[in-house]
Amino acid sequence: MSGVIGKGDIAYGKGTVNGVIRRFTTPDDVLDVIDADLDDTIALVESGGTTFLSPILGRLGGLLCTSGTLRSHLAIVSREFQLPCLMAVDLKEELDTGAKVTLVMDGGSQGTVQLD
Amino acid sequence: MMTDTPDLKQLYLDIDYTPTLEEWNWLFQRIGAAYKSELGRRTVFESELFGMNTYIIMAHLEDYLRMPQRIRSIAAQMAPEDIARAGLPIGTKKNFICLVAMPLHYLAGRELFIDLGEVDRSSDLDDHLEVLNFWRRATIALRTDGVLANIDADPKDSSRVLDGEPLAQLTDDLVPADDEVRSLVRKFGAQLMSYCFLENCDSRMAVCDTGPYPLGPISSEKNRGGFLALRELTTDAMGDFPWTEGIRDLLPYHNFVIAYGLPGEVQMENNIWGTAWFSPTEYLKQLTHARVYVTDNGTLQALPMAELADVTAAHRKAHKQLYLRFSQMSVRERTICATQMYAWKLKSWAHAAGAFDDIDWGLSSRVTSMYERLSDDDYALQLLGGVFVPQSRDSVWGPIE
Repeated sequence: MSGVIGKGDIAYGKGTVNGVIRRFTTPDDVLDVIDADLDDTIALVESGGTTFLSPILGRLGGLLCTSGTLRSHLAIVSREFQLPCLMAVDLKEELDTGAKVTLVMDGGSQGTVQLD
Repeated sequence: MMTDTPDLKQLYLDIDYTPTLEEWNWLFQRIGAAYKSELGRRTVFESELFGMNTYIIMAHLEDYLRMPQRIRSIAAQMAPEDIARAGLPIGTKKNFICLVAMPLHYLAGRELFIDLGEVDRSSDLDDHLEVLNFWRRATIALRTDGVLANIDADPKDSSRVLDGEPLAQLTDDLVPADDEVRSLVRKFGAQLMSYCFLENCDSRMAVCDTGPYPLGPISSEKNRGGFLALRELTTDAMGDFPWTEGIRDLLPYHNFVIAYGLPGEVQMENNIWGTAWFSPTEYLKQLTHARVYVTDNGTLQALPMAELADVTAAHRKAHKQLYLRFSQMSVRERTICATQMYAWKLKSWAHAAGAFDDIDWGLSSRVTSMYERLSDDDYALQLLGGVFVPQSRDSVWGPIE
């Protein structure tokens, strides 16, 4: 692994989650994958609202949000879906769609994002 | 500002008592401080789908302009306490969260207009009292725990709207939670919550938590002093939202109460507007009992566990259609929908009172004309932040006078 490129507050999750980053910035990005297999997809979003990713939330492998708090709606619904989720993620470098990452949530309040 | 605690028995329990201005300010200074604290923990309101800061401001301004007269129209048909007591206190849109949102949003709207320089702090006292009195009378009738706000309940940060026979009946229908029950109930709850957020434009208006309630007959050494948490998920059954046209009819049911039986080791903190936070956050893995109730016909009907998966699937399908519909709208159209959603919180109360047709539900031109200015994200954030987390006072709002 290439090392830690970011960390955030754990809204939900334990252990490690491997996946492939997909950036979502518009509703069309969500519609493009609305029927796709998303088990290995780690969604990367900028806002803490829950409606934007809502049609696919229950099928994602993980979720990174670069803003918000554990009380944001996105965090609330992620917990209900038991979706591994880090909020307020501070990334040291840009993460593009296709990047392979590992989320590490070792039991503390913060988890890390590691580039594979 | 009042420094001594008022007669709480009178203030919290006597429907016919008229609070003094000092008592109102004492009460709302405290509620406003709790509201500010909670909003501060949320930081900002963001959504790629809905311009949340924009619509929150527009809706609160709209509430300031329209809520008092709408309440007058409703109260002219039926007293607020009678509306609150009519039918189920839970599992309808005429519920705790829609009720508490009335003063929270109205008073925030006042502060927004003051900050915009369009209203004086001394203006419109009769309107303020119309809203606050309606809320207080209805709250006394709705709550079963003898307080007006969750911060004053016992335990602190809790709420109860159900007791006696309805609570006993609900408790009787609970089933022990094995892994299958936990999975079914969790998936159902997650999907319904997600749908409710979407239908309500990323707001919590259709997701209302009350509790903790004592488990009653089920409580035993095995449950280690367990409790019941109730979550209401109320979708648009009446056709109040145009954006659900053709979609709401796809749903077999519209209004639900999920009952979660939880052990005493789980802590439940129910905030000022009815969002519960559980510790540990994986509380659903600790369910001891559960049940989903449908309330569409005005009673609590336990839904057979065998139906849960199909109801979940129906909402998932409707969710996709609603998302498609919203995604095809312009940002302005979505913002108007969201403003309407928030400003229409009184619709359920109007329906119950038989006053729906007496009220003009259209958005005021004064507010819609502000859209362009308020759609500037930085401006909206600054304006909203100045009200929700003000530097100059402990509460979201200043005193009424």
